[in-house]
Amino acid sequence: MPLRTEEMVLNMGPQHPSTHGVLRLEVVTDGELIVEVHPHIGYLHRCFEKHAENMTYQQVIPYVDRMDYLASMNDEFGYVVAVERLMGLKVNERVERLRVVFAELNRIASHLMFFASYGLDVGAQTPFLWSFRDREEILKVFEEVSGARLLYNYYRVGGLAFDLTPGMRERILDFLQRQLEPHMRELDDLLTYNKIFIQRTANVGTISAEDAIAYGITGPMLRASGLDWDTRRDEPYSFYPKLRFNIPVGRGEMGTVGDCWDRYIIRRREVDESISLIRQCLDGLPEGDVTEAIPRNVRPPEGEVYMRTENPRGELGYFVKSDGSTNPVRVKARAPSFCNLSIVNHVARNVLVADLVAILGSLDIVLGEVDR
Amino acid sequence: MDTGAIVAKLKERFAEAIGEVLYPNLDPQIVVDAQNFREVAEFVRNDPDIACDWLMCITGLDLPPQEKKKKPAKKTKDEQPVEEPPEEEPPGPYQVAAIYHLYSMKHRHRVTLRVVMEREGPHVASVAGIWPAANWHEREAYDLVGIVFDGHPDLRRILLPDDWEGHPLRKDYVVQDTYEIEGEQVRVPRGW
Amino acid sequence: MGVLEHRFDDNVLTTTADGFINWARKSSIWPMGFGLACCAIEMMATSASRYDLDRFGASVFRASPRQSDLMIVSGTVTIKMASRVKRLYDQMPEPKYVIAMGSCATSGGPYWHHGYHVLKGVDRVVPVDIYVPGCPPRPEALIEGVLQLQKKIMRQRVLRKTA
Repeated sequence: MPLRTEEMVLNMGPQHPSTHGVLRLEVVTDGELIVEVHPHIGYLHRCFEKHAENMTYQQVIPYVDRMDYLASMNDEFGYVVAVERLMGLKVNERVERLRVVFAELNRIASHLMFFASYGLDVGAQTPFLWSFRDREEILKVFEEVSGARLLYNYYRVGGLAFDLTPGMRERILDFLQRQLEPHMRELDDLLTYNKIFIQRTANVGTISAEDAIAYGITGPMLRASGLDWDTRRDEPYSFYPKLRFNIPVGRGEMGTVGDCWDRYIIRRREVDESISLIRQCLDGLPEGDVTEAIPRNVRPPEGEVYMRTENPRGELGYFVKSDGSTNPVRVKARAPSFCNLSIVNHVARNVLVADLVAILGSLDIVLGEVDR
Repeated sequence: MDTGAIVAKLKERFAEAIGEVLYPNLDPQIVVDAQNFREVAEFVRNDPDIACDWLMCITGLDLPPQEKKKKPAKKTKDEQPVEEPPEEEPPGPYQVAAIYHLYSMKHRHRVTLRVVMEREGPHVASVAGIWPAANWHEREAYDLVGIVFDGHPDLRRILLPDDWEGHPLRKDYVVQDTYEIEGEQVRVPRGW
Repeated sequence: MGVLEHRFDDNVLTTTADGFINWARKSSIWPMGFGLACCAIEMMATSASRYDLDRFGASVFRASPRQSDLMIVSGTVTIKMASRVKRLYDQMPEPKYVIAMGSCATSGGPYWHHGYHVLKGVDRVVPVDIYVPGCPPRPEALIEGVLQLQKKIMRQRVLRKTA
């Protein structure tokens, strides 16, 4: 008698310790192997675009940074640069440099959170506590300059809300040299070149470069698949044209090009690049007033603009449409995690359920951004 | 290739489907007719000079009609109106638009296509077969603005629940009063 | 308390049955990991190395509702998610407590005005014991919320009849 085998539908529901937020995955499995994955999103749809139509341009900024709540400075950076482009507003060099400093510090904080949660996903619990120790120091810097630990409301159209406090520049440089760099080397010994970690993540979830472009993947995932593209270098904005930095690209050192380990090591190397960027910006920081170009009423002329910036998760795009009044007509945020998540059905074929968790962790999604 | 050359190449192939170029100083958008959109999209993807293989974003827009501003009547020194103010012109048609932001990795240039449709029952061909990234973007545009993409493999709501009423990003949207949660009707708007 | 006090050595304690049961319950609250949005990051930071929630006994985050007694609703509850919140609350065994962390769980938060898909306060679907305001609340604020919950648990009547 032939064995009757059926496919089972497994629901990794919106409440799950490994789905990084409220994401529902409907997984069709044949035994232990996965046949299809259907992601269901929308459990955190907070109507950002409707709010943006009813607030003034400066009032939209707190809503913008609740989209990707792990990298709020980068969200605000993209929005503010888009509106300034629409208005044709220029800011002074101190504002440009400080904006890049805080965006890169937030990139480091976001990647530290990635190391913490990815370690938890594959079963390592110590990187969580070690990464949070360094992340708390960065959050202390942010709290000192903007008043909040997580959601800052710090960038303004035309400048920044507050200037650096006295001695802060030296404290940031001291933290980078004395604490962050040695701790990153410790993390390398603990997690990055750990044999168990490599076995869990190398050769798992390989994404080829053609698939990456076809599905709209951006950011560290695209670079891990071998493509050399970074919006900070290739369509630069703000102070990035004057900075020198390398772009880490995946080479398949431990497995194939574009597997989960590559995505991890790209983010690890980006932390080193961000440290170098912060040092370049703080070196030779000119004096100036960061609030001098903030207009009293933000009324851009009529127009539509699409501005691309580099978020820690990928390319964050803002489409802003204005008609000359104080409220925008439409603000659409193209979230990188939204597009990165759409590839999970294509990638997770014939893998085990535990590998699905490793793949999903390496996509580094934030559900606030996916659902807006 | 800059936008002028791209528009010229598109116009020589699809003469009547290509309209004007909006916002030439900021991010130029090429207006394309909704009927022939699929051929234009395939050409933009496959032509070796344009080669836009990367779909960045699809934006759904609800465009309220442009209201013509009434000119105030002219006054002379004695404060007497000299001319009658002109007749109020009727507002234009109510439209929705879908904007496709594309990029070419080979040539490093951007192409932005804009398709304008009328508001009641907007239809345009789906490009999910050309760029797989369009799958979720089109579902979102359908969910929030109400644009129907013909030929989409699985057009259903993505962000809102399947039994939600209305398309929220329309300018005249009014939120529903209650929604059923586990057998009870829970109040949706703010307040009591 | 009464005639047995100070009659024995120092390593004998007397208390009421209610006090003892409530002390055991408050010192080992096991939360369910229910992080929804930005407040979840602050909840993780509260249980991490600097602001350690394990000192209060409340850091064993269980994945399943059937093994937990506290549900910290941290983040915005949307209409689509509200039915799952109610279902998870129903699956928790008694005695169960709910902390509404953050202003989104308390009353809809910054999305109060135009949020068509946001549930204006999680108390529209589940009963809430403690509200912790903030956007997001600092880890110290969440710890204060847990301590207030511990005080509330100490006041509960388990074996005494109500007056």
